[in-house]
Amino acid sequence: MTHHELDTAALDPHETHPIAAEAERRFVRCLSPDCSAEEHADTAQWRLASAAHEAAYQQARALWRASRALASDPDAMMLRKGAEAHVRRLRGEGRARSRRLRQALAASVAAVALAWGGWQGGLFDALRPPPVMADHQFETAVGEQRVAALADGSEVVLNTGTAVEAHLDRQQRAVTLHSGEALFDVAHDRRRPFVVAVGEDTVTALGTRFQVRHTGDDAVVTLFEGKVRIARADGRARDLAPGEQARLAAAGGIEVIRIRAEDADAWSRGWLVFRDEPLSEVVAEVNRYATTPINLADPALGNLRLSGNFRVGDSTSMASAMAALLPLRVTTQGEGLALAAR
Amino acid sequence: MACVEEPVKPAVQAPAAGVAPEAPPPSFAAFVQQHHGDLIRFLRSRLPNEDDAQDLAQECYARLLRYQHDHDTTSLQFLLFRIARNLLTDAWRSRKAQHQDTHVPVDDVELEAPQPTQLDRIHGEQQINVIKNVIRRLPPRCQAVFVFSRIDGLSHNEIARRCGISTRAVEKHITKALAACRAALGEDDRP
Repeated sequence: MTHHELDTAALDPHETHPIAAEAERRFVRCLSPDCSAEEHADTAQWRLASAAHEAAYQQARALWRASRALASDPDAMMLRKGAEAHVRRLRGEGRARSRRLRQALAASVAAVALAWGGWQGGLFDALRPPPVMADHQFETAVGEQRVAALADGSEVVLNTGTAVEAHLDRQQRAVTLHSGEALFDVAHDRRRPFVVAVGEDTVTALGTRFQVRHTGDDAVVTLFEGKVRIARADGRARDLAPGEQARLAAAGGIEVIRIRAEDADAWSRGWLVFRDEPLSEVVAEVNRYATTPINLADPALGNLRLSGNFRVGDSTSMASAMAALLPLRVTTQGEGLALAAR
Repeated sequence: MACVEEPVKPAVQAPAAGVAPEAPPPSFAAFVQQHHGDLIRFLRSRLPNEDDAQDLAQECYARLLRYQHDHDTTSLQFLLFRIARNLLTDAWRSRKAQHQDTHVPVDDVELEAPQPTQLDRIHGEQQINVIKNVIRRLPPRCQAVFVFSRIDGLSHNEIARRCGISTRAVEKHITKALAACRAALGEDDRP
């Protein structure tokens, strides 16, 4: 970030607006689930004590509510990415620090052990910090996308209409993709494989970036970096290389093709990319994001082919874009939209 | 200030600015203590997130406090939940207005007109731009905490876990961010 940082110490509100600062402190405290009844009663009394207190408190509330509009701001994804990157950096530093500490400790212990004349195997393992254990559940509504962080430092980007559950324990990091599509940026941890379950199949990773899509009966696994192993319920297994995409059809088997990586995860940057694809598939893809679905007035139109990059957005503007590129027009059809021949 | 219709006219006026308030009887804190759990459960089951439930609980107490002198505990309890229901109706109404236009004006909860005016809209957009600029210039950790809260809608506990800091530290960062926003927005909203 090129901006210089605000010197929050210099604008210490306690100097210039003590009431506003006190109101903000109380307001934020009152939002916490662990704010006690006593603190609530105390703040209510503080607010009643003077109109200036109440005005300042209401100003903090109004600011808080106004800032909620950030969630739907076009820059939200970028701000969020920045925040996630910062947390990852912090975790990385934390890990490096504990690794240095571990090495230092190990060295001194080794010295003691040598002086003692004996060497206990497994001592190094005992000195490793225990792995972080946690349970997570993430969901996105239709049309929503979200970046979620797991306690081990891995990142999951959820696409529209997705449900993901994660259980991190000592042995493994078990993730279940119940539905939808998710991109996984996996933190390296050789002690605990990162296993994504899709139906009865699994995709296992060490430190890597890959995405899994689970819509209908099929699953599609795309690898961007590193290495993953796919294991089907029927016992078949296959390792993927970066740039490969595997389709796991309900009927069985693993069909691997090479893909353009930058197209496959374009959704995580807010784009839908189509290259000479039948309109039927384009519409099906767009409808994954839409609360107002698009239909084709005549199924034969599904054979028209379309290329283009579309900003993920409302289906009305997507339908207009399709109508502009192909000899089609948009009509309304009940609750939804229909594309008909011009 | 509020569009909530209080069920009873205040018999006691809130003290004016600068006038020292009468010390409230100790029973108010005891009353809150007794009903806090129920009120939070009541609000929590009707609102999408923890923050909103806590915020509305505080509003309930602030409003209830104006009536405490005239009511016995039974009516106070009734009044508490009556106020809670009114505030919930308000919150739902403002959420509905919010869905019609994502750029809500600042005072959405106090909004009396059903539709924001063009001026409100412009004001809201300008305000968001100021807030965005402030966020970008906050120290990284403060920025991350505020983003997780306002964009991801995470609770203080979730943010604490994600950032590996204490809940109190999360509160400090959010308070700091709010103060920075307030400073940047200037005195516009002050009477």
